[in-house]
Amino acid sequence: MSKPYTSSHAYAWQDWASKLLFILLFAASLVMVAVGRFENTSLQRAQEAATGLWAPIGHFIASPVQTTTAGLDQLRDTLHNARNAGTLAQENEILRQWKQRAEQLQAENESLRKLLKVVPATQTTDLTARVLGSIAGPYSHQLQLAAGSEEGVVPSMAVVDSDGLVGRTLSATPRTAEVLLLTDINSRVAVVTGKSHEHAVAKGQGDTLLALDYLPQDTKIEVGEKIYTSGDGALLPAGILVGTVSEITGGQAKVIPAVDTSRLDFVRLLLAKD
Amino acid sequence: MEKRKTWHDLLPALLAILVTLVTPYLLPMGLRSIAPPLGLSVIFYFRSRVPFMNVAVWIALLSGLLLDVIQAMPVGVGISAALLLYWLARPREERDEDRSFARNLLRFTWVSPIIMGWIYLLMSMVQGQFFPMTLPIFQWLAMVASYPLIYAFCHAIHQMMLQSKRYSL
Repeated sequence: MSKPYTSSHAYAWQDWASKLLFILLFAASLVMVAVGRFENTSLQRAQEAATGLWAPIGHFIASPVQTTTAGLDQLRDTLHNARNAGTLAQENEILRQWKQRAEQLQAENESLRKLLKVVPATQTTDLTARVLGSIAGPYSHQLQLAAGSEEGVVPSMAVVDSDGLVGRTLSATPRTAEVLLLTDINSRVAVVTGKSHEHAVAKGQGDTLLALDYLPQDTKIEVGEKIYTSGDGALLPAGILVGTVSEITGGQAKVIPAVDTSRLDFVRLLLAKD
Repeated sequence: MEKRKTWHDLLPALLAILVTLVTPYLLPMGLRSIAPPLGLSVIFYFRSRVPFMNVAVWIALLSGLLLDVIQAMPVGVGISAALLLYWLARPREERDEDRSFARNLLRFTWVSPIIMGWIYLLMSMVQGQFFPMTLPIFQWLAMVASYPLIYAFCHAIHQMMLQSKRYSL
């Protein structure tokens, strides 16, 4: 094997220097981890800026795959709809009746509120944003949105789609924003159960299910029960569907999130009005 | 006296960056999380097959940094993992049989779980609790399963480099 183009003495020195460089770099990387653990503002900002810069390029690269996946989904939906046209027409008719009923109830609700002079619940403003993609990794469940602080996105906005709560905004650059999904290990959402009306905290576990913490000892929660945001702490608006209880084992309830985040194209961001 | 640098010197670095950055986006959204560490496979190939590639440490640093950014990990986790890989994959000049694909794959199969385990442990330490192991295991399986493809790409690039008479094994 040929040595590089230096004398053996110089080679030994180079070898020693490269070993020292390696040790220093390795130590520096561990220091960065420790610094990020205890004081993460500057490093985190730099990382967010880099992520924001890369997001549109990543979206551009992903567009052929996304287009193909969307096309296949559309084809599957078309075939499914063709097979179930009769059932869909029936369901549509039922939904029309429910819509009419909901409008009647809304009108009645408003007039009763006026009569009772009820203080209105927190109002929200909202904006719609395109999903750029997920920040891939087993250690973080996040989404990137093509809307940022220039569009009015701020941290801690509720992110929803038609099925329910997706998560909340974590940070925003001028043009992009990051969303912490419900399933992320750092996610905590104050919730209330639909039927038994018990308050709890839905905690992300880094996998597909959420765990319900702080349920009362004598909980009456049932499998199949819907879970909604409670609005406690005024961080997220109340009444947004979070998911459905899927299992209860040893007093610990697990929840399937209402939203399949792998198929999101657009989301709405809600912000409580002052 | 050092030889003149050519654009061929940048090929391994470009390949590592390209694989780290691009592969996550070439998969459907649900599968993207398994792709980012594939850049580490590129580092492994070039570090284990090109003994005097001084630029390898910078490739490792950059790929580790990109891994941190793409996976939203604390800065330093991916960098330390890539540097650890740089060390574990150092060429063993006395072992000529390492040059065969089968030996290289075998070595990658035991080196890669150490790297993934290192990332898992650091992340768990930073978080203060253990993460579910399912996805890291999937990531490792994806790394091993895709290594022959990465090997083929890197081998082609390596051949180009050898043809330019810049490196010798």
